[in-house]
Amino acid sequence: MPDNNRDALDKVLEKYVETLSVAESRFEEVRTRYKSIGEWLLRKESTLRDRNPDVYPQGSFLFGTAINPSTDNATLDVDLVCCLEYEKNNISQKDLKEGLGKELTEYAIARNMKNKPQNKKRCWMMEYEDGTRFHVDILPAIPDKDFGYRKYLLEAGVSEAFSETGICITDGTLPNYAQIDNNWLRSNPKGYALWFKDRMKVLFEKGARSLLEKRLYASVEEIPMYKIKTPLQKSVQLLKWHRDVMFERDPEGKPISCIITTLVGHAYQNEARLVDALGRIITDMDKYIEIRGNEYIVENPVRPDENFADKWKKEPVLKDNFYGWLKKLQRDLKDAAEKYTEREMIESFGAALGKRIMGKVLENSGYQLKAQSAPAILFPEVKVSPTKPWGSDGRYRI
Amino acid sequence: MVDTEYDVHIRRQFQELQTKHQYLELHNNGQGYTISGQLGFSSEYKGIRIQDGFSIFIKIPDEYPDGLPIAKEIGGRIPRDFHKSGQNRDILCLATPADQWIKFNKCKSLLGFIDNLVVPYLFSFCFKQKTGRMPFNERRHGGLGILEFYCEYFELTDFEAARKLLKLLAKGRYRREKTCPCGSGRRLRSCHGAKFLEIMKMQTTDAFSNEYRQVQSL
Repeated sequence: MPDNNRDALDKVLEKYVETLSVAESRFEEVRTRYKSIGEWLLRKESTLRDRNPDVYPQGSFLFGTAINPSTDNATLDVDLVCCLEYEKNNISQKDLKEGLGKELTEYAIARNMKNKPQNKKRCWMMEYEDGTRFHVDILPAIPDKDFGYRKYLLEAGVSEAFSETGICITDGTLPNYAQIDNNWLRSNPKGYALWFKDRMKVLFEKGARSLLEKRLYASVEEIPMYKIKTPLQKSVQLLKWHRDVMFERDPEGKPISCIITTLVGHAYQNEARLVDALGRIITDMDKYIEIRGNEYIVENPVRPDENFADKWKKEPVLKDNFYGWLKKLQRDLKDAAEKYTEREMIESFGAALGKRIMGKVLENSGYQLKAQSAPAILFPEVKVSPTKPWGSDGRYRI
Repeated sequence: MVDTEYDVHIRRQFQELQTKHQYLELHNNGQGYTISGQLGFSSEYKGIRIQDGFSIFIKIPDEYPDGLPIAKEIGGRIPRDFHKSGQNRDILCLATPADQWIKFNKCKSLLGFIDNLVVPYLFSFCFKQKTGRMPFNERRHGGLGILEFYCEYFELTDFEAARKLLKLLAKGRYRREKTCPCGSGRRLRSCHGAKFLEIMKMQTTDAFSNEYRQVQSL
């Protein structure tokens, strides 16, 4: 690709990311919401007050990779963790879940929320309908104090900084759900976020410099990840949007976000421009899938015993969907890269990202939208000025 | 590398072209810009309406707009002996060189080139097929066609006078006090001077020399 084409494509990709990103104000709003839940759990009458409730986001709202819903009736999903200081030998999963459920129900009543929290397999779901619609999933958890497991992680090469934030979570479908015992599912969203942040350290710190100079934050660690947008985060956003559009009619079959985020995180090599980062990512990301026989493994980088692609074995269609999606993504980007004008690039890539967002990007770039109802005109009216073709040798006869 | 002024210029002009001719696309494969696609038009002359479309290919030279694009019809509809030139006889001879520049300079843009030169050529072809005659007439092959153009331009009937005027243009200098080569006996300034100066601006001296070389041996 000629360099000037790359520049143009970079601009187009940036415009798409800007349009599909969840606005910073929305991140702030989410922050207010979960802080408010945290404060509720710490109020004087709270039954969980002395369990040091710690409410924090996980997933895309933590890494700053959240995207707007790609279709009109989709809602924005925010994942939160609520970690309470219990130990496995003094509470069952069921009691932990229901203890939190009780407080959240009171919270919903106190806040005049339309719906009570709904009991899901592993979390409580709250629906907010004031202003914009979004779902908040709150995952009850306790700290993982299993030192044997921590030792295993260290031996497996996971850095200590990533492994000390592990949690245990509940699952209503487990047979021991109502019993006090040691068999809990594990998770480590904070550790995963630290890994992800580490993958974009160079550009994150570069972006952090100006915020630190303005004395908005005291240290890099204090800066929420959504405050700085690196090409890694932007790439994840673009890929997730592209996937959402491709699997609009088959949402169950789409490659899951943690697979995409992990593979993109591995493939990214500190490229400073989005176009370069994406170019690398789409060629390299599938190299980080480990294939053992007929098993495909996308390891959780902070929990090597967890395979994000564990479902692919039972449902090979999910594997095919992943590779099919990656192939389409490569083709869509290549097609856009071969266009010459900015408008053509926007339209070419827009075909894969949806008409609505393409329209927005075109408009923001100052292009007039082609009227949708009128097809392109094949025979525009041209007033012919008399012109005499040259070179008649008298041989041409009709 | 950033876009040069040239790139920006071409792309802007192409965008203008594409708002009207929506089936054309701009490409750059590293060897300069080309335009290809379906060029359709609906035009009328003397009560005869032609609505048609051709697959065309346009090569934009690096010197553009100081050099003119060349146009080809790649759908195979226009036979080799209908106003074509080049090694493969696939380049459309839209008009004689100076004539092309006059048409192009009226609206110095890709849209102008297409609408004022390519479409009239395609229109002439369709018109001829439909009616058996050329709508705006045509020029003969080579130097004869060039002289025909200069005769018409300078409003002369004499090929020799036209050739002399072209020779003067090929020298690249306007000598106002010189006797006009048309044979009127008057000074150039009070005879064909105004027209001479006007056409002098249309193309380079080299281009006039090229034309002159083609009429020299006639």
